[in-house]
Amino acid sequence: VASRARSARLASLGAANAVATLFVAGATAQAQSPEAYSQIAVRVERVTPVSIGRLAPLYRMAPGVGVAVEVPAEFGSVGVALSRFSYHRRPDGPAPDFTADVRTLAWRSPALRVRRARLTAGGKLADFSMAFADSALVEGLRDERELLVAATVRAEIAVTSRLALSFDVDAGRIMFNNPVDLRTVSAGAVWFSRSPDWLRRFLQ
Amino acid sequence: VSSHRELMHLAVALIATVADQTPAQGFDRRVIRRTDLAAMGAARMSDLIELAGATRSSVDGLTFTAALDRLPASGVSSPGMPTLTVLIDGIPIPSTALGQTMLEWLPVAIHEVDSVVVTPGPTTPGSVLAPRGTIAIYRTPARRGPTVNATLRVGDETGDPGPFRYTTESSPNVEKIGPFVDVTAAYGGRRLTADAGYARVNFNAGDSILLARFPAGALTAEHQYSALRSIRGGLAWRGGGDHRAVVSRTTHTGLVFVPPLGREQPVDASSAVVAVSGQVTRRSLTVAYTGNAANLDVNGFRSESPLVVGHERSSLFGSIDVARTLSRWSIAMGASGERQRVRMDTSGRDTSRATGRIHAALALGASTGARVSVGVGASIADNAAVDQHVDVVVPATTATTIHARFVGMQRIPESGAAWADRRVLGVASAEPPSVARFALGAEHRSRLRLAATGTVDRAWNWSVFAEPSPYAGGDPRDRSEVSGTATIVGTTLSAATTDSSRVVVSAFYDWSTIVSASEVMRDALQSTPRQEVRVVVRATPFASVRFAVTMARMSGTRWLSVDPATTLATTPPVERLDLSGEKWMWERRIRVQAVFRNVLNRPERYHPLGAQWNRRTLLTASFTLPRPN
Repeated sequence: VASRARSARLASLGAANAVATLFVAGATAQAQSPEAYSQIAVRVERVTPVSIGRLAPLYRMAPGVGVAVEVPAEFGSVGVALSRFSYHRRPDGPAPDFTADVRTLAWRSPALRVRRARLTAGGKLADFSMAFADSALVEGLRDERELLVAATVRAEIAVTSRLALSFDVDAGRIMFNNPVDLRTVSAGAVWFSRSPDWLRRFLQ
Repeated sequence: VSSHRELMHLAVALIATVADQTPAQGFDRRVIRRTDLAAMGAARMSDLIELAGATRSSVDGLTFTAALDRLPASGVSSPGMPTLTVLIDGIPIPSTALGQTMLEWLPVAIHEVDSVVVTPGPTTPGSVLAPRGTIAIYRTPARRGPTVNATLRVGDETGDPGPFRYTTESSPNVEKIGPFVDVTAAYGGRRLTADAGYARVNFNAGDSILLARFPAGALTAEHQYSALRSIRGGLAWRGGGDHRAVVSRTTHTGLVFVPPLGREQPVDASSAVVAVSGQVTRRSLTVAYTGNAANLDVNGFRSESPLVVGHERSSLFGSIDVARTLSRWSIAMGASGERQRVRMDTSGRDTSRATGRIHAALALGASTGARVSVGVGASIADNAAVDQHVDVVVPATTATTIHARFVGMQRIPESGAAWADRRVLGVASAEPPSVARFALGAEHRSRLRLAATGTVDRAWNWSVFAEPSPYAGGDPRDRSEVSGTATIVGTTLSAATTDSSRVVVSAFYDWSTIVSASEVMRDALQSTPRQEVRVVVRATPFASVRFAVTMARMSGTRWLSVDPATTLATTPPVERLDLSGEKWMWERRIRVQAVFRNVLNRPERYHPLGAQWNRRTLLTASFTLPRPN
């Protein structure tokens, strides 16, 4: 358990370092970035938990799926995402299963390009919304929401001009009264398209 | 004939008044602009209290007790003491009841506010006597044609138990903030402007400090989920002068902390206000009038408490002011009258009273040069009272102005709200208090606006509670009151860069110390923070994006009015870092904002009996048609 905690700490330290490095490097690459709101990226990904922190003795987190939409902004890019995870109780655990819907607002630095790869880093703010499978509670009390803050690093490898593969490493914290660290890796596919004029005008 | 004509002119001049006798320049006033409100993420009218630099206490974070000066707020001061005055477009609107400053009941929504001018000490705007300062709210003038605005805000406080509620590490649920909904529609014509609005505020007070005071199961969802609903309307027309009228009706259900009792009461209240104002100018003569009729019906419901605060109060206020400018002189005079009525639910007995005030002022000097203004007033209520003020403005250089001001108010009559609160709470009247303030300051305006003001405040016969409110047992109405005297010296420093730059920085610092005070006042004044500092940095890196960082520190307080057997009677210093990000879309028709308050998650409490606030978030989405200018 101690070694797992140490690797989780190292992973988060690594993620934070990577965020800082990519942020600085990405800032110099701003000139190459697409015009603000000129492009739209739709991403589908599978999210795999690496560590669920203090929830580990209570739960096993199953891999989840996520959908995200991103656009280049005045500086870097912004996006919204929706993902869903299931937390299954340990056989002797006191807490019931729950499903978490995570609604995320993300910002990423301008990309650092290395051949066919684009590297970005950024931050995420999310609404971590839980629905407990607890029939003993009245309906309104089965749901609970909490803030999730995360740092994120992404590598995208272009397959065609419109399609890329993406790999994310996220290190976050759910702001419970007993904060829970959450680390995930994701792999997915991204499809790029030019933004329709109405959408570009709308976002500007 | 000539002397008769002069006498006639003099008579006309003597019935003249200026609408606002206080100096036009900033001096010791604070001005809050619409941009400041938006950048800090003001979500409700009560957020103005914080921006106004008021000392404030709140138990639930929804309702506040505020004081603009350095004297103790309601709950430490006894119910008959004056409270702050709120004006909307120059009209005084009743905004205090049972010791609470109820800005949510005002006929204006936060997004309609154009600017707010805060005068922190005693002042006399027109015919109104404001011994504890004013928050003057000015609404944004309606644009030509139809306009619509809809705003939704939702928020949450961090620190919920999550899945740990099923373990030994369980903790209570914390507040849900909102949703807050505001919808306004307006039509601006050439002469006539009309607007109508609806507002809804929901707030779940779930803090463990608060809930632990009630027996298990005593609180229902209706108690914990406070709900306010408000409808309002306004008319303004130009024709033979400028005239306006506002009307609103608000209902408020939930648990309301009553500071003079030191405990919560479940209430179901409805408030209604109709107010008018206007002015007519003919050459050098200006006639201004204001009036309001207000009604508040408070019903207790499902209360475990033996106390009953159920009552109905109503008031009728009217004032007329006349001003005339003769060359470099201006002379002013006015009169106001108010009638109040209270009917207790328990006895059904009606009590009423009438009060009045007359005043006159004389000013010499140009608005841009040296100026002296002197005024006197007399009030007739349960006792006769007088007030006087002297303002001197001297330009030192083209950019720097020196100000000096004295305001004195002797034997201040109870305000309508204080008079009604005393009857409702069954507390006998105290000797009327007196206050005086001397302020000396300098203001420099160039690319940087700098202001420094030193003040001496003195209060006589100020009535405070002599012993703590017995929360656990006993009747808080049995507490005795003691009058005391205090002299407080303070300074306020402020600096701000001009609004035209991409990065705007503003800083505010307020410090005060008690020079002399009777023992009871010295104890009571510990409930007022002695230092407050606030720094705001606002950056607009791109045309449609704005960020704001607010750093604030307020010194801790000690409340001898709170029973130390129940809780620690202190609040820690509040150290807060707030962040805000805004993005406009669709050519500024849509605005979205994310606000993070108390990012460092430091202890944040504004009353010993109150909730402790964690880090919290607030998301805003606002839609305006047509495109804002």
